[in-house]
Amino acid sequence: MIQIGFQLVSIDATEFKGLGRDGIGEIPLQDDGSLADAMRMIGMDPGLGFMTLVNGDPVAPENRSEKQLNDGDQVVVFPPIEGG
Amino acid sequence: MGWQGKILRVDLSAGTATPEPLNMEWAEKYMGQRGLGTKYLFEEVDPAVDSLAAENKLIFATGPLTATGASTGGRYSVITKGALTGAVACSNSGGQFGAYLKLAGWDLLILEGKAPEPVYIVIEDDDVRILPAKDFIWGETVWDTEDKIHAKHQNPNLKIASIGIAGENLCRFACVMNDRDRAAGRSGVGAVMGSKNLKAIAAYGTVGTKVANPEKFMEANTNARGKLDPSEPRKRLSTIGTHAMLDVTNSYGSLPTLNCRAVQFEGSSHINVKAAHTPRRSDGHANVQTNKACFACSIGCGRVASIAPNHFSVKDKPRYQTSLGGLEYESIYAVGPMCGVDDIDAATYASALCNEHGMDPISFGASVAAAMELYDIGAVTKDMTGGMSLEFGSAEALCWAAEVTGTATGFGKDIGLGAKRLCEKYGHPDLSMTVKGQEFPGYDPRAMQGMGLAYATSNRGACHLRASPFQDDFAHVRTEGKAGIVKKSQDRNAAWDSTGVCLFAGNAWEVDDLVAQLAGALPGEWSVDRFFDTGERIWNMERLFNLRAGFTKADDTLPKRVMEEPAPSGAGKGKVAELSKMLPEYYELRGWTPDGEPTTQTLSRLGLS
Repeated sequence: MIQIGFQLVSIDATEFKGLGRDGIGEIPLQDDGSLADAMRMIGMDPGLGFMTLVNGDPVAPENRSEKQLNDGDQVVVFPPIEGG
Repeated sequence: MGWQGKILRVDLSAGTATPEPLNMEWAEKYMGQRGLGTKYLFEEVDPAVDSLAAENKLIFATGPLTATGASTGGRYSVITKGALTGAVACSNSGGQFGAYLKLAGWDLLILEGKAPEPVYIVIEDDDVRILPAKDFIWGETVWDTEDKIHAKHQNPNLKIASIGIAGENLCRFACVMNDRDRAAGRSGVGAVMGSKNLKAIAAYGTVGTKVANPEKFMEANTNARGKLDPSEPRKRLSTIGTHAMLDVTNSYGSLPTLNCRAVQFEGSSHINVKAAHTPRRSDGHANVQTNKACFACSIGCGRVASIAPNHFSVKDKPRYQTSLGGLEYESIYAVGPMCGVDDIDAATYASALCNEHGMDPISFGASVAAAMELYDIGAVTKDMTGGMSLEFGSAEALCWAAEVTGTATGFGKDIGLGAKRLCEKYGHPDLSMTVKGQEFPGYDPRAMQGMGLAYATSNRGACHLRASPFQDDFAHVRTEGKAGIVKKSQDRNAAWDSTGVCLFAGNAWEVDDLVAQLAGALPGEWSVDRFFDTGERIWNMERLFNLRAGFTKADDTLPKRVMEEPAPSGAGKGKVAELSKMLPEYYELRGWTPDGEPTTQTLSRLGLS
């Protein structure tokens, strides 16, 4: 198993599992787990429109299943908000 | 039917107000608000005119869905040749004023000439009065102007659009404010109003609005509300507001920081949405008190905030120790990270002063950031500022800058020139983070390449609302495909901004949802294709105005810093804005020549020949 750092930005963390109230936490993942697997681990549908970063690099929704994670990787998820 | 069919033309030089029928042929081709207002400007104003000359016109335009009951349908736009940019300007605002102008029976209000003495206008249905503002509200803040008009006319229902002291003094980024803290904010439309000696417009209406097919309209409206109200974007905007974007851009590395020297801000946790909702130790209250909504809006993205009463900015100033318009993403980006300030109370105070004096907080903050960099390199000194240390990160300097710029005092007059003119004046034009003279919003174009193209090609200068490349930009740091995304969303937003409905509804609606409401409100057939065609026509008309004003392909560019200095961190680390890889494809998709001019075929196709 590997450990993945997870951070939800501007997303209500109470809707998901395995993370603190601040949306930050570590989750265990099988050795060959993908970003999509990691998102499912916290109860998040990887097909939803959330935006994702792995170690600061964006990963497009269509690449989440192929994006294999490594021990210690940091995942950031934020909502698809526009404007301001 | 959707349209009231009437415009009000006010000749400020002659002191006359004359009703006219709306040009229905133009209304059907340009819808309303941004499109229709720009059409009148395009036909009536020489694009080469000085934006502050009496020959420029100032047009307040509602949309066909304004005040019909369409969700978020309370918008109006102010259209003119911009004082900040010299380009076509169209600034969009919510609140209540636009809806009440429409309810008084008017689609458009066209202001021309220049009043010999300061005046304000009261519109109550067909009763229009031009009244003296001197020795009454000229010289007053936006807030006091509204209070005095309400008191004098004994009508608290009057909805008021006005300029503050900044607009009177021709601050280049002065806004037209309405309902205390809503703003037609960008491009200096408030300075044009000030140049006409026009302080305020107060409107109240009882005429109402009609739609072409009430049953069809109500069905479309009900469906659209059913989609918007339970949606995640609406919930997010209601609860945490646009302020939430700060954590997103900071995480991504597209948060303009220290005048774009950096793209992530280490002090962001002190000024982010969590900080704004956390009770203070000093008085137990949080910065954010509640949210509020504009006319007919179920989103309510507006914030109501308070500043800690013992904070240096408001100590012994009871006027500011109360509920104030709160921070939105663009204001907190500009007065926060862009200036290196991590003091949320100082940011709230500076933003409130922007509302009180009528200044665009984006341009204000970015201009202060430019001044701070000029100070940092020694081009501006304490002798020039009257003793103030304009250091990056100084909350005291930020609050001082808001006071002196809003009141056009001392060095504040220089900040009020805007970043472009300020940096030129002090010999460092490359330090101005502007496009066509307008300051950057809160998205650095090195990690967000599509936004870079959107800034460079925006007809009103750097703008985050003229195109919507957000989704693709937050998924891919690349140039491929951006030209098409930017072009299509520019057309979409140009049409959307011509309806009277807020762009934020588009976070939950597809274009079909809006077109269904237009089809119920307006005569004739409305389709998604017609909607996009209308947007493309508006975009090209704005482009023609700018070309005739003297803008060229050379103005479709970005500051040297983001084109040559790689982003130091974040998703775009090591990258610069690669505009040259996107611009030729963009011109081609637009049907423009390689020099950025619409071809005769394009103009013919759009009915602009």
